[in-house]
Amino acid sequence: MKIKNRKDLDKVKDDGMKSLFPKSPQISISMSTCGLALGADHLFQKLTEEKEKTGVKIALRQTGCSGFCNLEPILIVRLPGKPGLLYTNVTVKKTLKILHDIQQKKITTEGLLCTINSPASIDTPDIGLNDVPDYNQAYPFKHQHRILLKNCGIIDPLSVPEYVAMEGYSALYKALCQMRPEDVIKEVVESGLRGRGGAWFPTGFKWDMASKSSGDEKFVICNADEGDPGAYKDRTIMEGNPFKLFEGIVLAGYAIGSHHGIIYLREEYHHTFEFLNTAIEFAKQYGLLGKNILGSEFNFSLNIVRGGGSYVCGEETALMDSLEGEVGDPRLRPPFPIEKGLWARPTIVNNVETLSNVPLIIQNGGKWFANIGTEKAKGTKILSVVGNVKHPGLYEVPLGTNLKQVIFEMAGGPFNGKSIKAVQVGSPFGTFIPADKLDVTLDPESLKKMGSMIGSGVIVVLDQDTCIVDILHHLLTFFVEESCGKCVPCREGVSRMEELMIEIYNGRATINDLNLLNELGETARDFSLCALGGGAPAPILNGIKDFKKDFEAHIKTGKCLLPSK
Amino acid sequence: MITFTIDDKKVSAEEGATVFEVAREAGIEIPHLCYHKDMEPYGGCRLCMVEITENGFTRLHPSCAFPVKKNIIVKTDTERLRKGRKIIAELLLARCPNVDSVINLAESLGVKEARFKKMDSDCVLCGQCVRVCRNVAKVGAIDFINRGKKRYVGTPFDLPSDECIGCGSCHYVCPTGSMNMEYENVLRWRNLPGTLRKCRYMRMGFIPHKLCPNNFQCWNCELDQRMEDLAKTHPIFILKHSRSEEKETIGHFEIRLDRFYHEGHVWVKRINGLMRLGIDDFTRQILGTVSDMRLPFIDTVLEPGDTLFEISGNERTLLMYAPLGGKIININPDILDNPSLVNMAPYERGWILTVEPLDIPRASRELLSGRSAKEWLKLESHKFHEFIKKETGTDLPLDKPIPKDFAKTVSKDTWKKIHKIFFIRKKKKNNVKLFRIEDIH
Repeated sequence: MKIKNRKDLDKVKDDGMKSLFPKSPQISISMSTCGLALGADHLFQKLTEEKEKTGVKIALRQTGCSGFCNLEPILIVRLPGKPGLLYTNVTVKKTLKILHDIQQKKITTEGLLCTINSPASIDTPDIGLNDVPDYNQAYPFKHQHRILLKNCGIIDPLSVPEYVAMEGYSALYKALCQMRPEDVIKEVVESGLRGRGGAWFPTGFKWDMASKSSGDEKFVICNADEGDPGAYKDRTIMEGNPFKLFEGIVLAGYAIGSHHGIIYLREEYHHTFEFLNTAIEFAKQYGLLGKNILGSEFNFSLNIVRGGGSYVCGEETALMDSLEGEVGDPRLRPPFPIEKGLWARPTIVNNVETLSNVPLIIQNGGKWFANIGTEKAKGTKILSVVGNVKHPGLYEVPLGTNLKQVIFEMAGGPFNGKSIKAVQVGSPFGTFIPADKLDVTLDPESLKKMGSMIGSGVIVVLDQDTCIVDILHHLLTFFVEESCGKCVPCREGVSRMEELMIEIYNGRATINDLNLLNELGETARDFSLCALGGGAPAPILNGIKDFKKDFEAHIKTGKCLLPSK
Repeated sequence: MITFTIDDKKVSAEEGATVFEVAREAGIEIPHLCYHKDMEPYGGCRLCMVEITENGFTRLHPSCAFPVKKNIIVKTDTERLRKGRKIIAELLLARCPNVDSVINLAESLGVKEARFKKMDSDCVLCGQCVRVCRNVAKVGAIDFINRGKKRYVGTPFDLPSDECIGCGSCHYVCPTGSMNMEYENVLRWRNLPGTLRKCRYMRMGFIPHKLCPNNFQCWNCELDQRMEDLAKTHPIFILKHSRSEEKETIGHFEIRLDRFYHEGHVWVKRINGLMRLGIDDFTRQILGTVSDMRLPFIDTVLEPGDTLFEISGNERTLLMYAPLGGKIININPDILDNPSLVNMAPYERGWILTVEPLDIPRASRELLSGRSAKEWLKLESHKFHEFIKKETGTDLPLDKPIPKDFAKTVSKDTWKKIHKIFFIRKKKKNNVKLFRIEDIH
């Protein structure tokens, strides 16, 4: 059915509420890339078989990724009149036990992490449920400010009604019915939203310029070429709540006067590709993409294009070259994409997280969004905390949260009682912050003061057993591998830096080589064509300064400087 | 004109010029490697980087690609730039230690020895060959293969190329002499039977048909010598100029600046002492389509202002008048078969007739060209929009072509007025006898 007016929208919303709070028992399995890797499809199959064998009346459904892959497979049990129950790290055996308990009207407490969305009309909970915390109070969701990821892992990502039940598409409806494109841009400008892909460019400003540049056709490109090592926030949004992203893309198109959107998806996201295509079909069925969206005059089509597996294609001009079928080399600027982008038409390129923030801004107003975060950086940021921590995962926090709090309170600090040696914020271009300087707030400005950056929000925690020279060499091999080779400083300079790093690592270098490394780094930083060559030297240059002892140890002895065991 | 500062010198330049070109004119030579004056900037070598201060912020930009802006301050030779250029030259020298041009470049920047492990490459990956093949010759036989450190220039799958036309432009632009596509292909072509040995000027598109009588020994060829002498560069670059015809748009009307225009909206082009005539874009857009024509007979002698031909389409007709006096030599045979050509390509294949002019000085006095033609078309466009707004109340957009069925939508009365205001320039003289195309079929 196509949604054409408020009445249709309310009807779909009712359908969504019915499936979120069902009249009969329902089990949802998290079936994202991470869940599938841990056997969610096998689990689904076993449950189906068991259901047929025992004849138990239960609905089997799926959810998306919640951002904590180490808790997968995740199971949500919804019983009539009771809050949803979220089980983590389930196995086939445990699942079958849950199924049998449902049959006997019991509630399994083993593996139960939290309860979800208790509606007001609930009966007094059964004994044993009192100790179970609510979703917002349970570790690891505690301390987070989940506005973007609110629905991820909770709703069925392919169900339009469930998304609408969670206030989805109310922003688009509001924009198409009550707002002019200028008003949408004004709201985004007021919110102070900045690009979440790493450059932190003001989104409203970009849209404003794109809306004013003339062209027979304009494009909205959603940059989903998530290549930063350790980052998976975009995948979680796309697989956990794809319609929120679609809503944001259509809003962007409406704001700048574009009728065509493209999601440039990372090549390695095979499952996401299939998944998003299905989601687009569903959105079309409900009249949320295609012609006359939500019954208005506005038309918008959305396509997905897969990248070719090159990191540099995440750079917006290289991305457009790749879309045009050329080799993905960054272009010279000016002209900027807002004047001459894809096929020489005005184009905006925005990250998945940026676009997903837009529906929230339109729905709640720019002022509401501007209240979250710091003076210059508004809103929340999804941080993917990886490395040697107890609870790696996606943590959505307001900008300006303390780094220490994220690492120790949320992610639980390093495991095995080890101490932290360094933390890289904004991998791979961010610098390694030594353990004694961790008391810093996470926002672009304060990190820039330290010579680092927040980038796309990857936080890599390294413990005392890591050698900085080794890890820097590893980073350099990544940059050498991923450089496009167009400009000399990046192609020749960074590969020579890697060469020198090998010499240093093996103890064949002198202190003079450190100076040469510095000189090379400075040249690559200042003279490179795009952000890859320009950003690559930062961790090295700062690493030489902050971890001089590690370098000296390698130059003198050829061995890593590690605490003796 | 835009004025700004380069190295404390005040300079001024036309809009659209690059900092590199302006500096060169002012006598400041910026080091460069991938720049070529006849090609689009590439920005790969990063040697031509300059410090540009704009709105109080100083940043490094490649001068070959940076368009001049008002009041920017350009510094081409600072400590920071010298240091960076030196490192880049050192990196290139380490890559190509045996290439003379790289050694010379490095020496000019004060680098004698590279501190890195020496490689033995003869290609600096400046991309000039790739660009000349793809963008100038429009062939695209070669491109970059692989990325980063492993990048090199080659043909698909490193197989001998069937696309290559053997023009040798890649070899011509290569600063290090590493390209030898031309030679490889010539060796293959020499084994072909004589009837398949196409001259490279035929492959390039200069001449429609010529087989090579010289067994591809171009140094023995008279044509090759003449072309090289004429071009003073590689002939492929002249081809580029002839391909990109100078055209501009005034509002939404296209104007070709190599032609003369008559105020009755007929264009005139000199060809071998004769004059070729056709309708301009203004007429084409107003009429929308051309379905039928009435044309004068060959050998008719015209006075300026005589009726010349009549075109019709969209149920409306337009009578056009002679822009100059002369004798009609021939009529475009293609439009006799297919009058809609006039509408499809009014400046090219849709020309209408050729006239032997009687009084060339008078014609060149009366016809418009260059800037005056642009000014005139601008006024006409403005006048037309005003007229339509007054007459019919519709506001035609200034940046979009006139709708195809526009002529049908206006009344016959308005159409007559349009004809009178925009097409009749002088008092009618003689009515030349015209024939219908249908009559000759």
